[in-house]
Amino acid sequence: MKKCVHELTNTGNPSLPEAETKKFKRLCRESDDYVRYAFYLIMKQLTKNHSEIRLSAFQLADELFNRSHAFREILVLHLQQFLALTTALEVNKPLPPPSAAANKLKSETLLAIQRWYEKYGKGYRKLVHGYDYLKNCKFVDFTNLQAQNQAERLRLEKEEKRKQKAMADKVTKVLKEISETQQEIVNCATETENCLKLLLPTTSEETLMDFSSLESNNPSLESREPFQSCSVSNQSHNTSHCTNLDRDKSKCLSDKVGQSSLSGMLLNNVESMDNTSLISDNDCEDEENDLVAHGYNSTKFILSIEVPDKVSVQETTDNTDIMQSLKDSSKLIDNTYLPKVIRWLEILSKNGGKENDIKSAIDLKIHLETIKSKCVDLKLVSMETNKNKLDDSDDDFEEVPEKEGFEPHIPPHLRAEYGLTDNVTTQAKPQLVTVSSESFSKASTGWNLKERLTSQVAADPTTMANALAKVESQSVMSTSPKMSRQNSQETASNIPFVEFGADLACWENPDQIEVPSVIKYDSLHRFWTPKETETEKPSQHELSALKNRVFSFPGKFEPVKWKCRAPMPNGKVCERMDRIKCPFHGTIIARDETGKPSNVTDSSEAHQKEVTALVEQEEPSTSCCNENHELQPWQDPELQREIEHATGHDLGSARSQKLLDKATKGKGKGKKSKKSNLTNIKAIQNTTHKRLSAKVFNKRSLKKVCATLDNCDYKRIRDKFGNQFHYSLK
Amino acid sequence: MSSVSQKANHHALLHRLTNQSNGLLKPLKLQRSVVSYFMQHLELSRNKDFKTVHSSAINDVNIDLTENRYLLSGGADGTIAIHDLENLTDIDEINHSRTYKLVCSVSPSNRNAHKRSIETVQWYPLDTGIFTSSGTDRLLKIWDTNTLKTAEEYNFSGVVHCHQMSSIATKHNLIAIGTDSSIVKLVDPRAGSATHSLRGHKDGEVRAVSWSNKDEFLLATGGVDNFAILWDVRTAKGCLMKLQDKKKKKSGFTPDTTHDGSVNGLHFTGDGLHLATVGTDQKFFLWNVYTGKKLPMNFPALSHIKRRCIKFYLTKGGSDNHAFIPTGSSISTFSLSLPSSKSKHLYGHYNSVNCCTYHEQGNQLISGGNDQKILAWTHKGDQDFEEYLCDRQVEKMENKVKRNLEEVLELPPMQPIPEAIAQTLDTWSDDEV
Repeated sequence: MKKCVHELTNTGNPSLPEAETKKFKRLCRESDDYVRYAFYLIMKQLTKNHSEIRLSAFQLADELFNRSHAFREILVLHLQQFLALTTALEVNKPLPPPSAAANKLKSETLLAIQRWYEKYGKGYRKLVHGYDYLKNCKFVDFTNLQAQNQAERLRLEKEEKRKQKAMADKVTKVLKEISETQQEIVNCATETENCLKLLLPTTSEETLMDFSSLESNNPSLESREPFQSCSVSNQSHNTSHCTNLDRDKSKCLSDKVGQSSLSGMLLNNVESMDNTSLISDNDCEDEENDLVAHGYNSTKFILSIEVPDKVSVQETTDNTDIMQSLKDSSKLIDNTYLPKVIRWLEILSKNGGKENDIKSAIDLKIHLETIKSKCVDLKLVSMETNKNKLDDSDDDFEEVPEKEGFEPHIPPHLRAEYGLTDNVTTQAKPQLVTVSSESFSKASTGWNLKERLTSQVAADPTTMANALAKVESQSVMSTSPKMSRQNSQETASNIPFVEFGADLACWENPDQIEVPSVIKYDSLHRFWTPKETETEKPSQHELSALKNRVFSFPGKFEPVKWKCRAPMPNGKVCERMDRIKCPFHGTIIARDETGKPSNVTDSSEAHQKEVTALVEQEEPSTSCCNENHELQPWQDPELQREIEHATGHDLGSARSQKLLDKATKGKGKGKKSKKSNLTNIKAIQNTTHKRLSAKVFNKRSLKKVCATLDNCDYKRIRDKFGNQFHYSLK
Repeated sequence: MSSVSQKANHHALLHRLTNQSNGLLKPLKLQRSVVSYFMQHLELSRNKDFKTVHSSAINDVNIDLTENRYLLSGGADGTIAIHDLENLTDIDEINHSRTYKLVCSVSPSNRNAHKRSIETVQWYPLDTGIFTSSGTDRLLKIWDTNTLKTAEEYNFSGVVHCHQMSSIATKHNLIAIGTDSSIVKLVDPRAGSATHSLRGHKDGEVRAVSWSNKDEFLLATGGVDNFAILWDVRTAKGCLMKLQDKKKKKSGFTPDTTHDGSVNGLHFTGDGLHLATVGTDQKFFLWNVYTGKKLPMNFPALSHIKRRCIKFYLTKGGSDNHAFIPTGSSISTFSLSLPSSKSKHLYGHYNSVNCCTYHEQGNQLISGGNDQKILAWTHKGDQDFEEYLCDRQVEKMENKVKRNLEEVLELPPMQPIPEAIAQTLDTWSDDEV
């Protein structure tokens, strides 16, 4: 039972877990003594210095109060103590820290007292007295409490009404719009449909025709001719050839087959393997040619035809107008009508439009979408490009048009390749500030928050910090998995640097580098010098000396003593002797004779690294999503706490603190995880102000500061009045 | 355990009853045992209420000695109220309680009212036409009850902590007054001024005064000098005796004071042979008035004894008398003849209890506290009365049923259980089984 109460009160949730509560109640139900013991336990929990514990304990008490007479009796007996612990009526006993929970506890207790009073007032005299006491002595305004609730309810109702009205307004507006534009849309849709019909028959017809034509082979091709002239062709690059072929159809089908094997339009599958094995390739081809040429439909051959799902229509002088109108209308549908309909649908579904309206809107949308898909499927060949092509090249060559309505969707990691940098930079701009601030803080102090900031910044894949962190982590990985980041920073500070030289100064225009002219005195006499000293033209040799840079390696060379020894496909192990990372097998880790990683965690880590690297390469967007689990910059628990203190509202500092704790735990700082989910009050008290004041007003530091100040004073006095007798004694 | 002892008590009482009917026991003894039986199991009364008058803390209550009927109470804002303890209203349906009616009251806006907190109120022992009150406005007022006007006012140089009139005096009419000064003043209303002053306390306030109920000239006073002093008001040269505890004190300041802290409450026992003192050392002592020796009894330790006059009460009528002492938000009670190591606590007031008095005729304890309430405590909280009411209701119902059966009428609808009792039932829901 004790355990039960402890568990129940240490959840840290604003409400009790149901199953546990039930279990507890079942325990309590067994006898009144248990109930009394429960009261004792609850009171004990109520004295804890944590509002969340108290809140949970109070809720538990409320549960029991509504059930057990014994509990009511004992609680009413100790109601004053109970009230003091839950409502902070005593001035000198305020509620403990998490202020959000404390506020909730107070208001809930008062409400509960009122509830109890109404429900059990007649049975328990002291409850009535308590209620009166609160009302008269502590001036708790119960009517106001109720009125407040009522006011709140009223306000909510009003809000609801307002919302409904707004929704209705929206719906009526949309309906009006629909009724206005529906005709237009339908007209447009029919227009496009008609255009499409004129341009090409429906696909089902076509395939039928195709099949029939192929069934009857050559003659049917003739019949297919009109269609071809109507410029139905396949999409692939070779389609133009196809159409040409149509024109000089003297060529037999086999040739076409030969070509189409390239284009993938028709595939000859030799079904019976024995046949092919008996007859040589040539023979087979010949025979095939013959067979097809003679319209002999051999059972040995099955012609499978893949009809491409995309069909393009070439624009000719005959169908220019149709094409134009089709293009216009499809554009219209694509750009205005479809989004409009989608918007209507959204509004209608969100604001509770009538079912019929929604249905009709959906129908319209589907209709439009089918038309659009048809248009997209059907690549329209623009007249202009066609003409251009005609001008500079042969008639038979026709270019595949650019995709209509093509929206470039380039995954972010490929943006650079496409030369699309503007988007990225705009995203990066706001981050720039944080980066600079971060660097500033880095320069100023070695403070904890800084690391957090950097980690936050690093979480964003677009920032430089992230890239740096990646590189860093890799380097850390490469040196040794145990090496911390600090170490790497140290090594970074140890990197030797060479002073800014002439070659760097004239980096942009290396021709301008001037070698300092050297004046050479011919005579070494002290007084007798030549009148004009000749400056010697610097030689090419000297110039090149200036341009060159010599770096001396200050560290000690340590020969690499290990090999990569990763297993290779030929059964050997990799013999490369890299210091940190093998270019083929990644980070060098300890391996046994066969090349298997000796440390399992190492291997799994390495494996994970590989996988994550792969994933990141493939879709950095998802990895970015994963990193969103970390704290957002606005979720800084300290800031939230301060705001909470000021306002008394729960902004969720507790949650973010928990998140933060989790994060730190994830980093493996070895911090012991608390069993309960309560908010950490100590963390709340651990503000920057507190820490600073603890440091500043530290006794020793104060002493030190005082001593120095005294020293200063003494010095000044001695300087001023040191010659006076009174001061000189000191 | 308590139920067992209760039962034993009950049996003892019944046994005594049979003895008395057999002529083996004097009726007075039976009466006393009954009275003490009522004192034993006090609980907050379920159905008795006082009409609320006070809008501030209640500092003193007093029941008149002539009729034992009127309750006088003084509040911290100068309010004085008189309730009739024999005039109860009918059962109020809303509160399910009967309230003691208010006879009259003096509101703080009254011209004659105390401007500040009233510390002590007392009826004139021989007549309910007069009562006295004193408070922190340094005034002692003598009131005419019928007109509710002050008949006389005495001004003092310091706060009047306490005053008392002798309840048995016939040869004098003195009011003993303890003020901020160490000198106890005796006011004679007939003379219209302070006639005596008793000098004996070392410097400091006098927090408690009490006249003996056996010897009309015997006065006990207690002060912050840790001494309780007995006076014979006729001798002018000094005190009769100082009550001195020979036990070594913790403080070691003055080794033989009455308490190891200021003496804040004094009360003579019903027989007048003993004096009870309460001190800020959270202790309760009984002293033999004639020898000045402390009785060798270990009374339970108290708590929350404040630095002001403690208005506690020792009952008189029972065979086993009890002390009722306000300690913090509870009233501790224990038997005087057989003190146990632990006192029983009566919880009912919120915030601290200031005063309590026992209404012997009504067998109820009346207490006032900082929560602006006067509460009545009765034997088991009038549970018996409630049960009686229930029984009566059941009886009524049965009668009705009988009548109905005779008249062959349809059964009356089942009367629901009285709400107050219904509310005290357990309501475990079945889903928790």
